Amino acid sequence: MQIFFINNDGAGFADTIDVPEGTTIETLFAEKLPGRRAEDYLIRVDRQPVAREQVLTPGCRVSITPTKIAGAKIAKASITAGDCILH
Amino acid sequence: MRIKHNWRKDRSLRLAILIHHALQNRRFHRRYYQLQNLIDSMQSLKKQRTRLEIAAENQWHLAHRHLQQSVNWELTNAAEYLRLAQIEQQQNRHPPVVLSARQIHQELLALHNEFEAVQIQTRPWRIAVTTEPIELEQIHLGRFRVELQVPQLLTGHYDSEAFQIVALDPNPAASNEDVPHPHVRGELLCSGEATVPLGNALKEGRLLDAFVLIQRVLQTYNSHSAYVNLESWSGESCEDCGEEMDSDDAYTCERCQNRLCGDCMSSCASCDGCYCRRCLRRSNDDELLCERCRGVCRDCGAIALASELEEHDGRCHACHQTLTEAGAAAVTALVPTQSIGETS
Repeated sequence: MQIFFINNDGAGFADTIDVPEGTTIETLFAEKLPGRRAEDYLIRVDRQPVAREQVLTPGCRVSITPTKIAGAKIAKASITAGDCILH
Repeated sequence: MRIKHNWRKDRSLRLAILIHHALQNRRFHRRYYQLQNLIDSMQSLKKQRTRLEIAAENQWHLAHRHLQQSVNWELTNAAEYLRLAQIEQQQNRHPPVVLSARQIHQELLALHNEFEAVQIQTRPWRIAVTTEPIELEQIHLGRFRVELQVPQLLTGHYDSEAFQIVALDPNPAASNEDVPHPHVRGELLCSGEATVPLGNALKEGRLLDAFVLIQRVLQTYNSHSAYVNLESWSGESCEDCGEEMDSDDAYTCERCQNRLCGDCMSSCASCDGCYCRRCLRRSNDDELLCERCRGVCRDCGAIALASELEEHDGRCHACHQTLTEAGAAAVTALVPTQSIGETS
């Protein structure tokens, strides 16, 4: 069966993928993010939180988003007088 | 009886239709769009290299450091786009598909499950959600309103610039009132690791994912790249190098009153006063002197201790020595002449 899978870890890849009938969210997570801990991610099926044993249904939308995403301090660089310290 | 839905009165549905049509017409839904992302990223790097060169030539150290960090992030993005472009080529993957208007409408409705308050405003179109109170490293930063400026999105801003982040219970950094969160300056979030997934979510109309990504960045602290580190949130920043510092460890320049960190503070070799480097001058004897302790030789213009100049009638030791020797030579030259005259 086909499901719509969104992986917001890294590139934020969204695509329709094939999974075997009866696949649970736990199985899918282990396959797509091997070695990661499920508690470090927000896992949603059809935009709702789910239990790990939830069985996926054809056409469902699964999204996985890390709970911690590091921000930074520069959006777009620009050189202005205020940014500069002259020595 | 079937009730006809009046979509014109349903604000979220109207917005969903608007976003769907706008996104569908954008160029990134053509093939090779990851390749195009990579090219855009490389062009951005090219511009930033020019800026880096300008900053280096002019010795704008702080700007140079900021630009280096910006280049690092862009390199990370470029690497990600390169990886995706390779996948795109190898798998002949179809370009992403924009969600249907109905799906975008569902995304908008789902925001209510994820956030405390959701508002959709018109003229200009704006989607605003309110986060729960955010506390990082035991510092209370309060709630934030995350606003997606739809006109920005529709004009091709598929990044954090499409969002305004407004602190509702502001507790800004003491050193910079413009920083209400370690990764927000003004009302702009630097999305860091969320940049690429955020861009993809916005391009595809996955608004719920976009807002959740912003929320996760706001709830994460990256001490390696913060506008102001939480360790010195209630402190201040050095006016020379821009580094944050604890107020208790700060120095004040006795001349210009600038606040300085220990690394940027210097002292006068004569009076031992505390000064910034701009208020000190290096003497010809290679000593840093303050304005009160230094003077300029009336003959050669050399910088020297004022007390030494006074001692030598406003001249430095070397000029005084030269003058003394010249005087002595003149006297010596004069004395033999008189002696010869007397003899003859």
